[in-house]
Amino acid sequence: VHEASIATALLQAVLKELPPKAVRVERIELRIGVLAGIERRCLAECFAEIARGTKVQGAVLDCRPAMAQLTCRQCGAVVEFDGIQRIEPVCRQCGGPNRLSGGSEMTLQNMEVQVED
Amino acid sequence: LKIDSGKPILSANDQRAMANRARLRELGLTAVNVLASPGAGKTSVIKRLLEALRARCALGVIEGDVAGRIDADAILAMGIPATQINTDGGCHLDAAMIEQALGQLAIRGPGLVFIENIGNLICPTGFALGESMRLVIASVPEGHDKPLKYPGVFQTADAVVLNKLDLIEHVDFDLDFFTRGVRAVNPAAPIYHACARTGKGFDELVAMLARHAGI
Repeated sequence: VHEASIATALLQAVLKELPPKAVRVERIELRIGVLAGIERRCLAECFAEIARGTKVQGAVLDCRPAMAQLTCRQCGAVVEFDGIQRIEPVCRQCGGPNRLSGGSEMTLQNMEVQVED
Repeated sequence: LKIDSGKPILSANDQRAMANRARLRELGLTAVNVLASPGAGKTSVIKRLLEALRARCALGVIEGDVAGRIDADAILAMGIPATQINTDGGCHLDAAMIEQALGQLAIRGPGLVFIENIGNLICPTGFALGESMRLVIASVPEGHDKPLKYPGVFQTADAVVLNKLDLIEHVDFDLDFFTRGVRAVNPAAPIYHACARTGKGFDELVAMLARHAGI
């Protein structure tokens, strides 16, 4: 359960990017890799709690998953891996060894901010 | 107003980790982040490595635990500098904790600092500490399926140790399945078969660490 730490880091990252005339953050888009080990609902709950009393209070967290890939080292066939299904160590097409890549990113993509006129 | 960022959420921690790495390099030290589940034998493996390397270079250990200083005391009893971090419930170490611990450790290289992370195969994965190597320890009684069930941590490993190999006759552990699992998530990391209880299988691992640290 490291979501509280991630939520704290996220709030700091968001506050750092805010222009001085920002009044309120409405929406935050994140890219969370399927292997990053983040429970999205838990992150949203922690974030809502931590953001209380700041300009980010009430902002909607829009978590978009970033898939991992299994690439065959023999024939190059690529299969998307959603982090939940069973990892196939062997390629379905040719029986060669698969390699897992990607899926660990946690990125603050963009945010919708209300600014004073 | 839409503001684009694209920055990693943990970028503040990443920057602190980079500062730690720079400080370690200045001191002539190489840090190894040791990751495993609780009970895989992190401390026992570290103790074996310390025994093997103590005549050759400076050594220090940063111990991370939720509570208590059992591990740091065990290292100090060997006459090797150690400092204990207690996370008070936290499930991982972060770069700020290491920054503080490095100040307390007060050793100079050339040498190695082992950082024993909290026993956990999920949470510590995304937090860089300033290490130049990640050593992931799995142990035979945990079962052969761990690399495929916890791909994230094995994916980030620079080297994998399979510990408690002496138990392989007593449990249903499929070594071939384990090896294929590690290879699927991480084709490059060498796998070392070891037994910290008997000290078997440590020569290659010690040689690799010495090479890596330039000692």
